Amino acid sequence: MTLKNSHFNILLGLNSFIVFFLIFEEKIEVPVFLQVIGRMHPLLLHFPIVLLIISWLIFLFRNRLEKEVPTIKSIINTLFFISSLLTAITVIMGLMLSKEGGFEGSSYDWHKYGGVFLSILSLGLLGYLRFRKNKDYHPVFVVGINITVILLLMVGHFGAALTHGEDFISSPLISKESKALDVENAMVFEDAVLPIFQAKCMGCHNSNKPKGGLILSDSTAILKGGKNGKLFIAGNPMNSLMIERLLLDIENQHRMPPKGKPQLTIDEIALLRAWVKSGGKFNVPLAAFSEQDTLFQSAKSVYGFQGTENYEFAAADEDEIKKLITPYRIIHPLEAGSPALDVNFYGKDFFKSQSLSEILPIAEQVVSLNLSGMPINKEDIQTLGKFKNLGTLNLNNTKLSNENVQSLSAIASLKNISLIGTQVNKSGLEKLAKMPNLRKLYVWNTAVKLDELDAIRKAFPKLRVDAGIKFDEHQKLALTVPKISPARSFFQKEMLLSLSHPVSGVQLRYTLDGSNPDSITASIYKSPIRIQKDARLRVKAIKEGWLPSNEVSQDFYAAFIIPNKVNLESKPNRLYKARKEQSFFDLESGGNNHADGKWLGFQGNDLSASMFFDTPIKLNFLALSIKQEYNQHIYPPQYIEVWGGTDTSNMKLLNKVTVDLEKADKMRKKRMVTFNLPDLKVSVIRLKTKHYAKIPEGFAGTGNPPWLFVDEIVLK
Amino acid sequence: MKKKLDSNFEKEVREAQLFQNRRQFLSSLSIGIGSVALGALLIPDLFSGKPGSQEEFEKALPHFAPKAKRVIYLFQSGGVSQLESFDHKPRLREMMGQDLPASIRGNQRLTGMTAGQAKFPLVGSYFDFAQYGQSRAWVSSLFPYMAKVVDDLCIIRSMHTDAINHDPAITFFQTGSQQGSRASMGAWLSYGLGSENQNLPGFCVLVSKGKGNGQGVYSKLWTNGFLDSVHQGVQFMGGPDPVLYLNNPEGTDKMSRRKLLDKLAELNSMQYETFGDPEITAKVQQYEMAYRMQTSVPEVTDLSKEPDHIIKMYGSECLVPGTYAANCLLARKLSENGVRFVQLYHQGWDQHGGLPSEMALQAKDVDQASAALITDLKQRGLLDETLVIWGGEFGRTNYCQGGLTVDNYGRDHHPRCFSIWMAGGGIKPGIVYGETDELGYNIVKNPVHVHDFHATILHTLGIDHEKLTYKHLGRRYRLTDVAGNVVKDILA
Repeated sequence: MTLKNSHFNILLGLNSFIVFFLIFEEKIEVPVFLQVIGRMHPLLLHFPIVLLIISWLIFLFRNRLEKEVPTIKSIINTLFFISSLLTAITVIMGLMLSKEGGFEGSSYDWHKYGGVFLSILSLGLLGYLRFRKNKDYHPVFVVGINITVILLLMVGHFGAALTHGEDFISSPLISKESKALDVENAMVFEDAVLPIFQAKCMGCHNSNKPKGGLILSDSTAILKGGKNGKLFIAGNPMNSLMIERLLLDIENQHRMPPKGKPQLTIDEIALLRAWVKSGGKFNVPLAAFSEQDTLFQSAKSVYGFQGTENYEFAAADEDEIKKLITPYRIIHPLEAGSPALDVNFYGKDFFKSQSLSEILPIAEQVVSLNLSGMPINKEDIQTLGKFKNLGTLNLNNTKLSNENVQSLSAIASLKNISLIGTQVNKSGLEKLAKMPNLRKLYVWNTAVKLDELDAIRKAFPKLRVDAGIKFDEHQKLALTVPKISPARSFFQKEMLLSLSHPVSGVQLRYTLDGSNPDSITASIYKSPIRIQKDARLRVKAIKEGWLPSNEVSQDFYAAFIIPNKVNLESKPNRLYKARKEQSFFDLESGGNNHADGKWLGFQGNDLSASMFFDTPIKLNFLALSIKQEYNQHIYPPQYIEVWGGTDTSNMKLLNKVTVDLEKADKMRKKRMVTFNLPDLKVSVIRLKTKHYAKIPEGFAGTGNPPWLFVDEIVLK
Repeated sequence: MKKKLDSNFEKEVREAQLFQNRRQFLSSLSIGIGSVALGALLIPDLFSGKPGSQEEFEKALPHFAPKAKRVIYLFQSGGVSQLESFDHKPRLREMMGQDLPASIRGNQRLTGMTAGQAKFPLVGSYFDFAQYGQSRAWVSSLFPYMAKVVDDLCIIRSMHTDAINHDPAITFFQTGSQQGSRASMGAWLSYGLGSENQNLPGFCVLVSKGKGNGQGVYSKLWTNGFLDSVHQGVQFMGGPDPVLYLNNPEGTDKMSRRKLLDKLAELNSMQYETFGDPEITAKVQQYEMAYRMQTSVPEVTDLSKEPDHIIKMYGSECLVPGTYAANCLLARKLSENGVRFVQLYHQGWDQHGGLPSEMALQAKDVDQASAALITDLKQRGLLDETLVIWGGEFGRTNYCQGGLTVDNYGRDHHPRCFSIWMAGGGIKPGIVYGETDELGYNIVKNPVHVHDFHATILHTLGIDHEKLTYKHLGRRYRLTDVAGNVVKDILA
């Protein structure tokens, strides 16, 4: 193409407009529809960049190309014209975009004036191409086109800095190290707060582009705040501008970051809030906050402390690992795909002298090793020194002694060591505390004394030594209750009662006459107690250093007389039949569970049972053992009658007992209803109960039919 | 005749082989998944020539670095009242006896036990609350020991569930479904992560019973469901024989038992080669596990060597086998020995009536030992890697069931909100999460559904709850079914 005047005039016009725009910049208002065009600046700008660079490359190699493409000069003209045209249009769009506001700082100035200069320079070069006399290019043009390309790259760079931030391209190189915080050394502002600003805020609030007059890059600027005032009030997050803006609705025009920009996570907001609340200081270490503190917690949520380690060693051979696994030596990768291994030993009887050394082929990969309770020896502890990447070591309840500790301190990578229940004492602990990377040490139940720990904690503030809870030696707790066996309450001639208690060295004090089992006069239990008559056994456990146990008591009844035959006239509920009539005189007591097969249950019908004696007998006492559990609707009967006589057709009422209802909170779970019988020889007696039709008012299950549960009848 | 028999037999074998291709492939994925180790349990070459995908499954788990390695779940069966434990509602005391506004009850269905009540009189806690620790969490006077460790706990006051009765609600908590037949949480973990210690089951169950009103717990709650039976929970009993049928029969010594198992394994492997039924290998594994448990179980269950101050910490009841305290101590020992999932159940929290007296007894059973477990794990450095969970299957109503007096009342089941706590591995300590309205009936902030709860637990163990699946009856099942979101806010 041959350049014509019209080409040049178009460019001249556009550039004149640019100059005009610059001069009257303050007075120009950009209408809304042109704003749309302005916003296409970042889209269009790539075209002139590419075209200009292409025309420059073709220009550089024009001589070599001319042999094959004779029209090369014309192509250069065309490309250069198009790129100059697009440059001018891009600059105009950029100027319109700048009117939207929000762009300040040196990058912006360089970008703006550099762009304008680039457009005018292109115009000048095009003018030379149009109006030159000579067919060759003048050296000034050669210099000019090179300057244009250099200028282009500069302008492009400043533009990119405006949109993506200063170190956009180089940032992957700068912050290559892992995000995770080093708990001991991290500073709250520098390592936890500032990175959030950098990632989410400083795209707009940097020294080049201080939107709203706010710069967040350093402490002075942050304290200064922006045009709307101070950024925060120390200690008062809810009245602080920054927190308010962060928490506004996403649709709100004052919301920060505005809609469409990367938002802060909940944890990040929590962290900023906690930082403001803590006073918004700039030189406080994270370690100054307790682990429960919100600041500490949210910093942990945002950055993570542990488990994010990158292991640089290669993975061990999988077949090798598989070969080393036995039921007593389990090897796991820390997580799927991780080369790091966790090794656990189990079963102390299966731990052999070579058990540990066998895994040396994978020693490099082992980062966590659990030898808790294993019978390790000196050699094993020396072997441990070969695990160069070991981070966590558990030697709880092993025979680790103070002398062995030295070999442990050779493993520089160790971070956590558990030495619970070992013989390690203060001097051993001091050796370990000096290890460079050690952070946690568990020494509960060792020879280390609590008061010795304070000095170590002071000397090594980065190390957390956990010695367990301080148990108050003087604190007294109640002993659990003693156990009485057998559980049954009935016997015919005599019975042996034994008492037991799980805690060793306990003294069991008991009485059989119903008196209080105190610690002075009550009998001390030594061997099983023989009883031959009704008794109430009351027992308490006592031990030095403990409060006495609650009392347990159990009633025992001698059932001297067993009838020859029992006849159950009423039908028990089909679920609670027990052994029917045989249950009454089997000397077995029912337990807490009414469905244990020892209780006879009745609902809806009354109990009626007859007892026959081959030879007439004088009875003076009868007792019925019943269960009470109001929540389960198990109640005593309203009254009980005992009839007796020479045969079933010839019986008279011997006694009738009305049974009172015990209050729910005074209710005994088992109860004996007793009768005294008149002096009369009988061959048969019949026991009849009368139930409440419905559970009375004020008791659990009011209105429902009650249950009666019976496990035994005692006759004397 | 003989020919016909032969051809029948042939057909059977062929069918079995077809069966093997599909089912056994899946099953071989489940065996030892997540644990390279389990391979060592198998008879050599038992799986030779099987598809290599097992490896891929193994490599995929855990999906990310786990914070917790093990779980101890202190299940409070019956439904602990949140209003007398962790959800402090002073307003209920002020409004004592007033009817619950219908607007608050909304369309909540009621149980048959209170649906017929003419009135729903509000009732406040009989027990006083106070704030404890750095977290200033409210705890009722029933739990003085838990109050002392409150800075280690993450109390969630906004749990909610779908079920309103015990069995479906517990089944839901344990298996992710109200109906039975799904695998329980412990079985899923055993399936996903394998056992840490091959000498103990990966999933152990301990049951105790309190003095309050309650229901039984059944073995369907620790079922393997559709997973291989190796993942079933193993119940440890109180008493001289903690695991039933573990000891050799009289007259059999260890050597002859070993010989017997070896011969039996040979026969079984022959049978397996013919039929390819994966249950055969599961059985062999169980025999071997039981053999090793003959040594490991007595070692773990022996509490006699625990020092006196540990006994004091858990309370001297911990030496009485079968009590909650004993189970807590045993849970610590099992967990310490690498058992993935220890499931405790303490029954008796169903206070429909007589709540003040019954709940005081229940709380006394569990308070000291639960807190002691936290402290004990912590001082051993185990709390960081052990997740402890305490809670029931639902909450209790803010209104009274039955008669209301100053010192006696009851509460019905309430699924809309209740409180639980978690502590240790991967969970933020010393926080209180979620909120209910001032009458404690509805959740107003940060609700946590049972599916969310499951998703969160799996997350702390390094498992993506959406990826841990098992194909059964033509579709893939998950513990969280088709729901569940990880509660990120409570993760450390």
